[in-house]
Amino acid sequence: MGIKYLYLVFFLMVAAALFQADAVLTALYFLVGAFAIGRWWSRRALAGVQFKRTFVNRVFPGEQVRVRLELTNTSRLPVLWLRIRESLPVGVGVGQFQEVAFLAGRQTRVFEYMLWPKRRGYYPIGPLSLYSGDVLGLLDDQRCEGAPDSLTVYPKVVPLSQPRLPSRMPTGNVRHTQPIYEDPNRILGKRDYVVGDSLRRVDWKSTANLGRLQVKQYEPSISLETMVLLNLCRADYDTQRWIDATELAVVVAASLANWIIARKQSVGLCANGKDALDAPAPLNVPMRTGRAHLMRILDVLARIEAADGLSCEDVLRRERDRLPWGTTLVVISGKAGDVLFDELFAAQRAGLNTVMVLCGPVARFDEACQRARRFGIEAWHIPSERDMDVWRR
Amino acid sequence: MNGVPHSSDDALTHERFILSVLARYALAVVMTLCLALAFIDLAQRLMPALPGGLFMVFSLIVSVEAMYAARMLSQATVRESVYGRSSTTYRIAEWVFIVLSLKLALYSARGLDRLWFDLASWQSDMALFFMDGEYLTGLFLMVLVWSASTLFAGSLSELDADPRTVEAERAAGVRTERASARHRLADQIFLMGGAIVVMMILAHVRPAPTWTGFGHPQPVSAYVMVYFTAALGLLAITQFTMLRAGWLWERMPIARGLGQRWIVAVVMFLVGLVILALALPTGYSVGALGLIGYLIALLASVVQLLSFLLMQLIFLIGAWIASLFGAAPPEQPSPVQQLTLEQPTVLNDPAAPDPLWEALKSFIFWAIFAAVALYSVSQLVQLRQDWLARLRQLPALAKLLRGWRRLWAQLRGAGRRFVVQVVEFTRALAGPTRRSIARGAPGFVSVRRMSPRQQVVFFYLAMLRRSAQHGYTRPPSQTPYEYARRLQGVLPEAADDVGMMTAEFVEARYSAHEIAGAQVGLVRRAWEHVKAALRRVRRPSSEERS
Repeated sequence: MGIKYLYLVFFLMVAAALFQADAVLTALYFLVGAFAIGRWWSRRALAGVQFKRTFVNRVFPGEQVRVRLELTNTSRLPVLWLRIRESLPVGVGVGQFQEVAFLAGRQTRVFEYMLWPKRRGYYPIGPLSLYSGDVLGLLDDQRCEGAPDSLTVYPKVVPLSQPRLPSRMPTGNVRHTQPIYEDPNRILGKRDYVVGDSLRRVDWKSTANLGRLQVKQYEPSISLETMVLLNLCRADYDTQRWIDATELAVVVAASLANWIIARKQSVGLCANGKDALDAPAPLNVPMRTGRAHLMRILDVLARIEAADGLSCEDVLRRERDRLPWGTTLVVISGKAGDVLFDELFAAQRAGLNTVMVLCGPVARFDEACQRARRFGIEAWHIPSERDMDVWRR
Repeated sequence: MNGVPHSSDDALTHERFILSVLARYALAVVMTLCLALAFIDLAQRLMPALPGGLFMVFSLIVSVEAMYAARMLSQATVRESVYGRSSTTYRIAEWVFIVLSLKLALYSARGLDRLWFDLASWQSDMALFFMDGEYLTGLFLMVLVWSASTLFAGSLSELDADPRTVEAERAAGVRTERASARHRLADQIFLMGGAIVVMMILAHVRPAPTWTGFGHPQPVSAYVMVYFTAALGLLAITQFTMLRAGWLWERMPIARGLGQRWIVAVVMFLVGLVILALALPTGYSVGALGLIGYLIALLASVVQLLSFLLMQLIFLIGAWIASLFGAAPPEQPSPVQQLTLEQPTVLNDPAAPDPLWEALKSFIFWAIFAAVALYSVSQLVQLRQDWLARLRQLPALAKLLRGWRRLWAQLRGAGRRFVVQVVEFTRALAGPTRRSIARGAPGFVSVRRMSPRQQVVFFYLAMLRRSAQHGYTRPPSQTPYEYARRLQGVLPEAADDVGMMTAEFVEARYSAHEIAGAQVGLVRRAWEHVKAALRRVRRPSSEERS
């Protein structure tokens, strides 16, 4: 339409130049002014619109997220119409947020909408597209795009009580049953001296009080340094139910990490999936303690997706030599093949305590379990989330 | 939340919809009346006795009736699907009524006695006496008004965006092409605007040779402005209608009061534009060519004056130098030509008060006109990139463009070189600046005027220069300390001085703290020692240099 409008302008221009008719000249100014000011207004007004998106960007599945979109017109010119379109991923409840608004000069308007993330993941919120145009509709609509933000939905964390992770690292915070791991800092009680007791165990103050020799009894304890190796290679899961199985594997990894951090032990994560932030595989979070570290692990677990890339065995081979002696290595996978057993056995021989957790439907788990026991590897099968109850009793 | 109005808002929304429809049709009627006025204006030039007022009233009635009929018939078409018969019957009845009532209206203006007189002549020759010139002109005007109104009404009825209609369209999955209807409406508006301008020009303006200017101001034809104002108002309203239909279709929540704000903004926008357009100059006394000639003459006069002043200056300097040597002063140059600046010729306007003032007003006018023209061309070029692409493919034009680019590059290069030369020349005239001293620019420098930091750098650079003259040039890859070690090997008696100068230079060059004046004294003395040592040293052989 703009072109035809300009044709009319040119016609008036020629007529004005040829005949010097005041009315034509005035009409020419009027039409050119309408075109120029309308164009300038729409561009300038839209360029002056700024936005700010505020929301809690880390949540657990099922939590509601209120997104606050604040649009400010920094220009003195009003934005006659502003179409706001916020692209949203399907996984968070709504496809998009749309509204048509008017923004006066220097005005700020706030829009709010809710998100209901139901599944863990790393979701882009936005980009925000703003459309506006000239008042006469002579030119195409203007569009500008704002940068997207991200929403991290953590995986579900199942509270565990007894995951029974083996450790051979003495002197720690985790109680143990074997007296070989006695911790001289944790005195369990005292008893009478019997022949053969070490003199270093004698409690001289109690001996003086009671008048007979007393020895200290120590509580056995271990420290647990755990590396969780999460196998998200799609080929290692059941072909039909790999989505559920990999999700379950992520939940298991998150729950174990949570339990370990709650015991003030250190835990790390290594995974061979695809990171939504395009970090190179394998993703490696070193072993540390503390809630902040748990959040770091949960961040990675929220972003990671199953992929066809690096195999679990390759990752295990790479990580094995880096881990300190006595570390508990928990391998979470969907399948236990010969190569994996070889690698786990090699890890066992290298001084690591290996645990294998198979998630989702696993064919002939009993065979795998027997084989694992033969190698001295603890094996668990978690077909569904409900089956994690074995670690809660 | 969706865009469909619900119970409480329903009545209000419908009322607003009716109002917006009425506003659109009212603007269309105004535009049609402007068309009628332009036609009457032109017709009255040929037939001064034409009853313009009567025709205007009749045009208003025909326009309103045509729009109403077109809208009703279009709705009946959808409802009853009996377009053919009902509309044809209606149209025939409508035109019979227009034809007869126009004739009666003309007789009511002339007097009914004339009717009785003409009745007799109709019986003798109906075609000759019934269809007189005045009546035929009126009839032609009614056809014009009726056609324009029907066309407008057709496009406007397609643009209706009642929430219920849009929801019904959505439910049926059939969307009215409102954008194409609006394009059609815009075409009609632009075409009619062109026609009005042509009629106005034919009615009022006498063609004359262009660019030299005209003396007679033209009467203001307000209907042209009214037409374009109403046209832009209609375009703005239909734009909102179309956008709103799209938003309703997508069930987008729309801010409350957006339509009212739109109307207010459009009114303010148009009023502002009208004021601006009326404020800008439209009259001029000096034609474009005359004005350009005058401006060139003015520029030439200024150049001439400047050259004369320069000659005078040269003469004075020459006379002064000659007086120093006791010689007779050279002959004073006379101006090359008498300075003359002709007053611009004001064409066809003997009553113009002051030619220069008229020239200034004309200059403002032509500047605005040129700006408008350039802006319009640039916008058209931006919108029609395909034209440019096609033009660029033409071999002759491609060659021309290449040549132009080459020429432009050369001109730019020459311009830059010229600017550099001028800058250097002015710098040389003004003397060395601190910055140029710091850069080591050639020229006379005053060491005393430098800061302590600059002086330290200056002496170090002097050492480098003098050493290079003796064959010990510092390669660019060598650090100051590496070079100092080399020079210390050559000048063992001044080794400490070289080391001290280097350390001071590094401090002055790379530190941010203040350099004390005492340090400058030390460096100056060290430089004297190094200079003396360099005088005594022999030049290195080619092997030593390498």
